[in-house]
Amino acid sequence: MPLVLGMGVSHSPTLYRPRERWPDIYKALIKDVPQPNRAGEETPEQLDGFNTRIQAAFDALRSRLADARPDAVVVLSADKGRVFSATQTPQISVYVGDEIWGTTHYSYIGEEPADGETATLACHAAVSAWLVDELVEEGFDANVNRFFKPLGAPEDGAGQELTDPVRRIVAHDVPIVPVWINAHRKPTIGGRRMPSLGRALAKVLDEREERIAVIASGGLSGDPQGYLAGWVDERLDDWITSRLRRGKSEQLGSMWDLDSDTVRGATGEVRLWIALGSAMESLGAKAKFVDYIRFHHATVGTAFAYWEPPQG
Amino acid sequence: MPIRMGICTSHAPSLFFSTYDGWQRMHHRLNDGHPQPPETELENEELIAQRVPQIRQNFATIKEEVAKFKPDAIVAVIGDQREMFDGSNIPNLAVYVGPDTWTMHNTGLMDEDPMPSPYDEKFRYPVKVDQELSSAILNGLVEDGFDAAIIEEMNAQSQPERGMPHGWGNPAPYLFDLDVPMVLVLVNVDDGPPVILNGERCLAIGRSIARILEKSDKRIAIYGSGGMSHDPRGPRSGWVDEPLDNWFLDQLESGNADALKAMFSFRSENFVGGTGELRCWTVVAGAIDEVSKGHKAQRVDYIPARKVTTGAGWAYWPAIEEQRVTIRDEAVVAAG
Repeated sequence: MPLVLGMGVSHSPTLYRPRERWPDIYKALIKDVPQPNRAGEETPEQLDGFNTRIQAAFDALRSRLADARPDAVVVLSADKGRVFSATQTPQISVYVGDEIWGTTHYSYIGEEPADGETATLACHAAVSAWLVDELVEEGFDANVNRFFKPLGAPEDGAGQELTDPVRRIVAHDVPIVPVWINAHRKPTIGGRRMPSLGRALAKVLDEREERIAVIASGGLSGDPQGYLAGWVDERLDDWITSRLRRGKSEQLGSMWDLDSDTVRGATGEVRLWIALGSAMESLGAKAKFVDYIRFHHATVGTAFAYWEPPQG
Repeated sequence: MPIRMGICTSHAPSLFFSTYDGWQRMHHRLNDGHPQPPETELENEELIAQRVPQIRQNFATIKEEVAKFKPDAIVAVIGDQREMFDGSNIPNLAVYVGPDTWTMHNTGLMDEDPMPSPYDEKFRYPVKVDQELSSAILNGLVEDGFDAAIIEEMNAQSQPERGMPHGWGNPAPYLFDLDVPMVLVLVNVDDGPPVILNGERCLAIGRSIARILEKSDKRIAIYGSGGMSHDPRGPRSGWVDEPLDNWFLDQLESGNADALKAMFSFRSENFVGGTGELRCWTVVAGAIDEVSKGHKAQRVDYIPARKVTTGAGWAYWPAIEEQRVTIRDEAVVAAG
């Protein structure tokens, strides 16, 4: 049956940590990069307000997903060197197995393993196997991961951009289908591949009996710990969200036809949103944004959106 | 002989200063209140002392190449930054078809203390215009489906005391023999709204200009003024997008004009302000590629000059030999 729901959520450790830790996390994310004037506008009171909005947005997505009663949730994320390493980095990869795990502490903001846990997530191997087979049939040279061997970080497993949103949004008993798209290791897959990848995802999953939802986790603009750490490109985010809202995700495909400081870093993960947007647009759905925050303290433009295919 | 040479350079005021004090004054004027990248403080007096002659030499190198080419006319593609136009009437594309006019080169004033008036008479110089060629380009563009606005008189609405905009006034004396007449083509380079020209459209404009001029019996050079990445006084003032500038120059050097379609295909804080002047470069790249597919530019120099608030670039396409010329699907033009 057709996809039952699409959801996009930005990723930053800040979104998954208590408000009182934000100032320290911010320092770790920006390192010594001079900050834009607009970051100074984020007063403690404003950050309190952001916290309320973020929790409300997560709750809204969680509730909407529960209402959609998915049997499986495809999660699009971009690995940051935890699952894959210099040994081999796929452009597109699908994990085919019954469960996946990852530690939830963030060492790069000073957390120790004891500050988190090892999250184990159930996976829907049958849907995964179908998906990777069919994507290859559709002309995508996808990798398949038949068992989980995280060469990038053998002790830590899958990254938090996968485990964080699943734990926050997806009910514990709903299995996931992890799909990785390469946004960080050069040469990265072209943005122009994303619309067709998204349409192929929608097409091949449509043939399944299960009720399937898709989540994209990453972006929007930002460069955590990079050259522009703390600088959010609001104009770019406006462009991205307006394209998705209007069902024109294909127009975003040109973003990486050029190089620029502003399309590096987390901005590369906008690929995931393009794939998701294109998948849902092929079913007649356009993005509805629960919220957007130009969130310098999180070092990424932070968006929460969903796509609901028309009934019947 | 029609367009056979292309030139692109930055034109930021500080590039024409002679003193460290001038650079510092301009830097503070543009960047104070804006957080600066860490590289800015490395631009000390010693480095600037090296850069001043280096920059002069970059302009001189190109001027020499232009002189060797001996153009009969220069088509200048520049932007307007609230100089000729005000908010009442902003064209995306316009051609000046009026008579000879004037402009000013006043950037040296920042070297002086106290600073003279930027519009002092002493900064003025005349601009010769090739009206015949200007009209041919205007008419040709409109015939070819481009909605070019018509400028018949120099009646600047925002800065009447400056004459032709700085996109010509600043660099022209450093690049061209001012006795050679020019054609002024204006493209909107500042960010919208309204939506302004994307890279694909700029390439198409350049290609059209090249085809129009192919019928001319003059030797013509085309010049794109401004850029590279910079947004003085904008939120990212002083930050130079080196990856973007280098990517752009790489495309010119490899004769890959069509790659520039990606420019301005989306909106971003890194693509507003002066970075928009890369549209002028893109028009030139389109024109050259139309005359000689894949013709490669030479990168004279690139300096990520943060106190200038600009990624400063200099490039030119060497004169195209007759036998290489192809226009669209037409056969190779015979030598001579």
